[in-house]
Amino acid sequence: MATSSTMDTGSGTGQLLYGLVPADVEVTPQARGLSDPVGPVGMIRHGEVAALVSETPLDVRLGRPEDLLAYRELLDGVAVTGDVPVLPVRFGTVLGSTTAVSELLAVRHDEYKAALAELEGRVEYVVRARYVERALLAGVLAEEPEAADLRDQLRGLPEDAAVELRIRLGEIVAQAVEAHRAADTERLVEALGPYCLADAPLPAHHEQDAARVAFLVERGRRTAFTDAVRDLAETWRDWATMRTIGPTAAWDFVPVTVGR
Amino acid sequence: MTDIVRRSGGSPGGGGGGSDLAEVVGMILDKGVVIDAHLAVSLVGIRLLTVDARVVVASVDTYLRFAEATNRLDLSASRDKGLPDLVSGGKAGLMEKAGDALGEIVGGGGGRDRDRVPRRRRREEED
Repeated sequence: MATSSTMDTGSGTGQLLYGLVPADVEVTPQARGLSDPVGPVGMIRHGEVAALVSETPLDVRLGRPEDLLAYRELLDGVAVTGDVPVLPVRFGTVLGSTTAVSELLAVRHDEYKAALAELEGRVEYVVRARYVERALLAGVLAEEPEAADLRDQLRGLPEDAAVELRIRLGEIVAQAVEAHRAADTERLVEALGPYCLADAPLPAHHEQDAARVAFLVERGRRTAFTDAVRDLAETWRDWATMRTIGPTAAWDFVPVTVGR
Repeated sequence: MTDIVRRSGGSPGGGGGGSDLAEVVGMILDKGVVIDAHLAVSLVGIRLLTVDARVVVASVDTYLRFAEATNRLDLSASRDKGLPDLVSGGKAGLMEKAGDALGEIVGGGGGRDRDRVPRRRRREEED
């Protein structure tokens, strides 16, 4: 099998994989994927699953912001506007030929089909909360007597003095922030639990992130979910600012190990 | 040919700021199905531009930034604000804020032209 899939790679092009979808999906001529020199979006089907692909020259360099956005927008569009379950394929995955894509679909057919069935009628939201700096730091100083002492000691000293004390102060604060983040992530998950099917806490992007969590939400419950986020944002307002991204494809609920 | 590079660091005070492209893009970089090694013979190496998905790792830099932010904090103005206030007032302003945030839909929003996305062929007739 491996040999047959490499037969037609001599042309200098390959098949860029965007994602996997049920086979009963069709691509409209207007579907937008990555831009030139990457070709238009097409589909390769096998049984009940299919891959969204574009032919691409092998010497192209991918990863410009517009490449990533186009990839993301195509798959989010499929999931949200198209109401089709989609398994994104890791960005930058290119197979040598359409035959190789068909073989992949054949070999992994049942796993992909099952994973797609799991995502039917579901979308993702990411909720991020970021601390209000003043509230966070005042809270930490109130909780950590050593930090408050160090702050008093450092008062009036020039910026480059007492570096060790500064580092110690910062360390205490950083650890306290981490503890708050863990607690707040748990609070967020607990508060939105009734409105989602699953949650996936994500790593912090910023030192003052209070929480970043992906939620898998039933399409029919989208309004209930976003209303719940809005109410929660109100109760958290003096402590952290909340922001929601979504609905999108279920990026954080894709079994990355499907087929491995 | 712009590589996507996150600014390293970032001051504790610099939070809030809008939806940087980098954050949105960073969200998808390590996501998605990985095509398995046994088909690797047909996996073709496309050259990916350097993308630095930032993960927050505590370091001396972090500590110094936190120390600086803590030192410049004016406690007199924030004495009663340390912990979340669960019975906050001022609803209107906040709802507005939350509304804005919810409006920031990334990709796949309601305004998308249906024709531009792949969709089901048979389902629509069945429904």
